[in-house]
Amino acid sequence: MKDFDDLQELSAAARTLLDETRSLHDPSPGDRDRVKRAMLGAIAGGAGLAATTAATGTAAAAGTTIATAGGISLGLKIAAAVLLAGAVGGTTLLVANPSDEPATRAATHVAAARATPTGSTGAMVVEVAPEPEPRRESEPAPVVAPQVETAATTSRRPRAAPREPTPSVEPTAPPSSLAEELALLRRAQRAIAAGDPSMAVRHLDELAERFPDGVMVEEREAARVVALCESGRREDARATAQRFLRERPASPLRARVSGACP
Amino acid sequence: MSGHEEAMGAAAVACLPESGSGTHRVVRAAPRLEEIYDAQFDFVWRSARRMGVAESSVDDVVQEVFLVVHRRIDDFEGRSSVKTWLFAILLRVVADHRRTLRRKGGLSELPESLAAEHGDDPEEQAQKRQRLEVLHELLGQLDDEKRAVFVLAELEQLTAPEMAEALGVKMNTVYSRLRAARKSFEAALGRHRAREERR
Repeated sequence: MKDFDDLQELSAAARTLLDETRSLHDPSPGDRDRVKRAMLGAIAGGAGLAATTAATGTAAAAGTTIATAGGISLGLKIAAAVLLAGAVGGTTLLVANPSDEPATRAATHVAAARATPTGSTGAMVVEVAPEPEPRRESEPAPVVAPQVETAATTSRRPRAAPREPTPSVEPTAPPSSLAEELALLRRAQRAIAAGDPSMAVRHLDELAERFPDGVMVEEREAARVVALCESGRREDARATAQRFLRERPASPLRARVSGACP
Repeated sequence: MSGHEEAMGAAAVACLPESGSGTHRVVRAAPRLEEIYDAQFDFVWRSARRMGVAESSVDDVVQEVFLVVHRRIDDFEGRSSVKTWLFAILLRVVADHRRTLRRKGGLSELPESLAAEHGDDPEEQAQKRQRLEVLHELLGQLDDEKRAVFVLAELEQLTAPEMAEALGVKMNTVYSRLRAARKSFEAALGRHRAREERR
C-alpha cells in the first residue's frame, strides 16, 4: 500500500484470505433495486424529512409507499393521472398509477381501483387500495399501492407494510449441514422476493437434491409452490401443492400452500 | 399543485396528499441522491457487511445510510469525497443498529449465504462460504476502530488521506490504528490456524 511503506506488511496467509474474500460481499442487482424501492418509498412517506430510527426500516411505516409495476425497475416511475380540482374543500385528487410498464403480477396485487363520484363537484375520486405485504416471506415481490386521501374519504388512513428485520432465533450454532440447508433455502426465498422465481426453483432443486430428507423440507416445498406459480408454471405449482397437502396434512404451512397459487 | 406530473426519466416522483389541506406536494428524490445511490450502493453494502452487519439487517442499515444522505445532502457541498462521507455515516448507523440490537436482547445470526455466482459449482460455493466465515470470525475479533481502518485499507484500499476523512481522525492516527489492526488481525489468524491444525 503506497502510503504505508513503513508499516509491516501483512503475512501471505492474511493477504490470501483478503484476496479470496474481497469480492464476496458484493450485493446483487436485486439487492440494489429492492433497497432503492424501499428507500424511495420511505422518502415519499416523509421519512427523509424527519428523524427515523436507525436500522429498523421504520421509515416504511411512515405512511404512503409507492407501487412498482414490474418486479424490478431502476427508479420509480409514477405517472400521476390528473383529476379535477373540486370546489368543496379544494379537493385535488391525484392518483399514482404504475407507469406504462406492462402489467405484471406485481400490478395484479394492486386492488382494482374504484371510481366513485363525489357529490358536489362531480370530480372523480379514484382510490387505489393498498396490498401491504410483509417482505420476507416466500411471497411475490411486495407491492404496496399508494393511498390517496381525500376530503370525501377521510376515514381511510394510509397504511403501509411495516418492515421488520427478519428475526433470527438460533440460540445455538446449527450443525454445518443445517447451516447449508438454511442458506440455500434463504437464497431461494430471496430470489422469489427479488422477482427471479426461476432462480428460486433452481436453488430449491439443489436443496432437494442435497438434502432430500432435510429439516427444512416443508419450507422448501412451500417455497417451491410459490416459485413455480410465480414463474408461470401454474399446473406444476398446483400439483406440488396438492402433493404437499396430501403428504403433510398437519403441516403449519397448509394454509399458505393451499392459498399460494389460486 | 395542479396539472399533472409525468414520470421524469430516472427521477422518482411521488404526489402525496398533504393531510387536511386537500392539496398535494411533490416529493422528488433529488437526482443527486439517485446518482450517489447508483454510484456508491455497492460500496456501502459491502462495507456494512464487512463491519459485521448480519445479512438479515443489511437492507435496513444501507437504506438508513442513504436516508441520512437525503436529509443531509446540503451538508455535503464542498466535500471532496462522497465515499468517505458515506463511510462516516455508515459507521454511525452501524453503531446505532448495534445499540438497537442490544436493547432488543440481541439477535443471533443465521449462517452466511452467498449469492450464487454464475458458474460456481457447489464445492466452490462451499469453499467461498467457508473463507468468508473465517474472514468474519477474524474481523469480529477486532474492535470497531481497528475493524473500520482495516476494512478500508485492506479491502477497499483507500489512501491514507481518504481514510483520515472517513474516520474523522488525523493521518497519524490512521497509521497507528492500521498498524495495530494488522497486528490484531494476524494474531487472530494465527490462533485460527492453530485451532485448525489441532483438528
